Amino acid sequence: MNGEPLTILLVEDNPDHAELIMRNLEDFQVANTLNHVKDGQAALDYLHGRGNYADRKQFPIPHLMLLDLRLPKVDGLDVLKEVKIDEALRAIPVVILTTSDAERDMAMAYDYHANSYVTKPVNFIDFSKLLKDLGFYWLAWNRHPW
Amino acid sequence: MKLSLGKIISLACGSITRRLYLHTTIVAIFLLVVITITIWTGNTLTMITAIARFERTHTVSLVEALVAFIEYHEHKKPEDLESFHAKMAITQSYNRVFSRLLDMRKDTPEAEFVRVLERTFSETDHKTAVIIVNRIKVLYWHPILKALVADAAGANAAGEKLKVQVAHFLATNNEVEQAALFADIYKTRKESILYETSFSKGCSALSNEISSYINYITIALLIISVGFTGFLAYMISKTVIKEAGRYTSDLEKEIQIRKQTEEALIESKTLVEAVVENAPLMIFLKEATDLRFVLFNSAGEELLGYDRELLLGKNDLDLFPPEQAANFVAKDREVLDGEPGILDIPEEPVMTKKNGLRFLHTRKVCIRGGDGVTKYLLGISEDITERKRDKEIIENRLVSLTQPLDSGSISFEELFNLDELQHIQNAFAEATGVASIITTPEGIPLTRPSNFCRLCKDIIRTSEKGLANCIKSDSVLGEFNPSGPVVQPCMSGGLWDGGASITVGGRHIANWLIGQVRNEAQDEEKMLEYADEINVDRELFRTALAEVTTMSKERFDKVALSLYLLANELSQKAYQNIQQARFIAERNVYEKELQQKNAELERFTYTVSHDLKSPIITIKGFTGSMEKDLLNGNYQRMPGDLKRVKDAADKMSYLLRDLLELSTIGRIINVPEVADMNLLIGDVLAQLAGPLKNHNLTVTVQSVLPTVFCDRQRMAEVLQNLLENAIKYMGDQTEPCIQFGMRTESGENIFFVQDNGIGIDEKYHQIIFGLFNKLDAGSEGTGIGLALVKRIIELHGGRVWVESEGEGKGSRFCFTIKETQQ
Repeated sequence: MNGEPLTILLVEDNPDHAELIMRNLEDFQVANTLNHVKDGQAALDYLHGRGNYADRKQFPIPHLMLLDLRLPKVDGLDVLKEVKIDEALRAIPVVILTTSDAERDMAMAYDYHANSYVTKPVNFIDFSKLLKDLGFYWLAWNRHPW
Repeated sequence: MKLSLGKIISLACGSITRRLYLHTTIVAIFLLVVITITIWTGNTLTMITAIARFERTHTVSLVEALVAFIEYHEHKKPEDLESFHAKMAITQSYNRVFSRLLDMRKDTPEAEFVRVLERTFSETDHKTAVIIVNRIKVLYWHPILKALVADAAGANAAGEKLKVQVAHFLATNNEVEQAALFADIYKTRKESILYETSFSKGCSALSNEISSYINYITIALLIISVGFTGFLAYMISKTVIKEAGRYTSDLEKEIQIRKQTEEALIESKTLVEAVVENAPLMIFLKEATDLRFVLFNSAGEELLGYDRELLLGKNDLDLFPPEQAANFVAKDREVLDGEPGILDIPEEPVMTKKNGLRFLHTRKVCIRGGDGVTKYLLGISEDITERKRDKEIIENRLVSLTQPLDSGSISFEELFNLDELQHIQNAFAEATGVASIITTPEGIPLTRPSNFCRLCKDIIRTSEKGLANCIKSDSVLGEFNPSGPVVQPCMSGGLWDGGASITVGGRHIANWLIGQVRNEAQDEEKMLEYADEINVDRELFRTALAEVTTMSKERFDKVALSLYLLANELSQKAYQNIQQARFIAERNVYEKELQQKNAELERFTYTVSHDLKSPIITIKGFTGSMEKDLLNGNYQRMPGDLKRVKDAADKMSYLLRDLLELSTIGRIINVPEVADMNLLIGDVLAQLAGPLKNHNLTVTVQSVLPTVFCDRQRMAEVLQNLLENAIKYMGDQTEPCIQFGMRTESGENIFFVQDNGIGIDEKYHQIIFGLFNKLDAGSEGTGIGLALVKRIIELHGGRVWVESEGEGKGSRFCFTIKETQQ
């Protein structure tokens, strides 16, 4: 906690869910910037600093990545796999935030070294609490190597 | 315990060193004692010498005093009298000190005692005085010293008496008196000298005694030193021997263990070598750097056909055709450089020296050294050539058995195992004494002849005409005859022959023939004429005819009947085989279908549960948020949130609608009918007239399209979906146009809907057909359209795919339909 704003990368194709996530994270006290991308390809471009995301000042390496699984273009699991293979990116905490509670998805996600796997609660109060806890844990308690 | 020479030495040294330390300490203490004693005795001798010297001094002064007195007595010189008194005073002072030596030890402080001695004895120095005092303090108990003191006291008393007598002598002038006194003086002087002598003797005695002590002590020391050194040497050597013994025994044990281990190692090594050597699989080891063979077992030699001397040190390139060698090396590298684990190569061809092309099932694994560096590649290969062939045969048989009987041909070899049948045929011929063979319905042999007579085998069938007749006769014999076996004289020679057909499902597939027997009823002359007819030597024919088995007609009929029954049984069996094979094949097809359906269902359920949950989360999320905003009186974002809720609910309803549609496609399919593609596309375009106009689209349709056999309604849906997509993903194209047409590739009609819109990157060409998959999260629709298209096309036995040069280059959706006609 050196006072610099912490960056969250939200990879979510559903604009409504993205809005809900952002609203709930705004209430959270830790200073942070949230960058939202809408598909797996954009997420990879962002992380590798390619194309529209070449500016690292505007799009820094995130301190937390919230990753949905079912994504257009490149699937969430494939994004996760690529991040965790890449030596430069694998330290980024990746929290899978998805509607899927399929066992296969969870097993695969952990297989690819996801840092956490949470399903989006249907209930709004739970949803708010989850994001608050999640943000608090990963941004306030968790220590980052960079 | 791990044994090393260094350890033995260090342990032994440690122990002996400890002993040496101990012993040295004892010796040091001992020597200290010896030195102390030596110094002490030295000092004692110094004291005695000093006392003896004092004694001599004062004896001399006594004698001088007496001489002075006698001088005075004769010459009356006053200086002689003075000399007498002076000498006498010295003598007495010495005597007094001596007589008080022991008392002074008690009363006088040490320093004072020393001063008295220094004052009294003019010849002494301070050091000697100190030594004397110290010695007296120790030796005061000694009887000789006591005797010395007593002598000194006596001498002192005698001195005092002498002084008195001399005074008396000087005081009187009476000669008689003087003579008497002189005599007394003389007597006292004698007494005094006696004491002096005794004192002197005492000194000598003490000196002797101390000397003796020194001698004893020296001898004792000598003995003790020698003894102790011996003891020390003994103890050290004992320790050394003991330690050495212990380590020797350890060493022996260790050697024993090592020997056993070595033996076990050798044994296990030999065992491993034997296992490797005798394993029925090819085992080889290659060096990791240049992949040369370093080990090869005998199964490997056998398989490849090379001796190991030839193989070792070579690599694949030296031994195998270049293509195979390159393949082997590529796999090797994959194992050595890739992820750890076993590489399984289910099938690879290898050209061997003796056995031609063989197929191997090989497993390769990388062997690393202790430092983790790859050292070897271990390979184990199994020759699966036979297994592969068997499998192929069985698969072929299954395929042929499952082909419908009324289409295509069934060959006998595919239904029966010819080897097995040959055995049955041989046994039948052997038991009945007839000749036998199985041929095709046309008379071409399928099995090898059994029990053929020389006449038929070597004479008739070697003639061209004879052989042709034989085949003709055989085909007639085997004709399908449900009432019983055909028995008739052979058309090529006239011997009795019989035959039965083998039929499967009404199809005649083989003839089983027996015969080549004769009976008495046959006319030999007529038969010999046949020899002329087919141009063979009559005599040869006659001799061979004589060898032919003779059998009564009655018996031959019975044999033929049993053949007939056997052939029918075989036909039955073959039919059952076919039925069974069909059943298995059908079941395989169903199982595969079921698996596909299950997988599809799983994907479907998964997708549905995920995509239906999404709008619920949205609805609950935003209603929850609105609730919160209501409580806080914050109405600003409420309209937007309400719209989101509404849209989510709509989306859900669309989803449900589409899902329902998708699920019904699998079940409800309208009766296929002949449809004209031009008419079909015309209808669809008419429906889409609104959107087409709105987007200012140009649509071109190929003029003469074939008719297709399809479910019209569904096919219209396909076209509609593809056209809608083309419109939706047109992008900002200024001259948007869509083309519908058909091209023919290798006899297949391929329909396509082509646009000049945004195009699709090649990597997404597969996933776009997945259920609910959308490339653009923001685009309209549920992502179900292409899944629907795929489903319908597949139900029509066709394929669907997309062709696109990439983004911005437009796309072309292509599909085929199984039955199209020009």
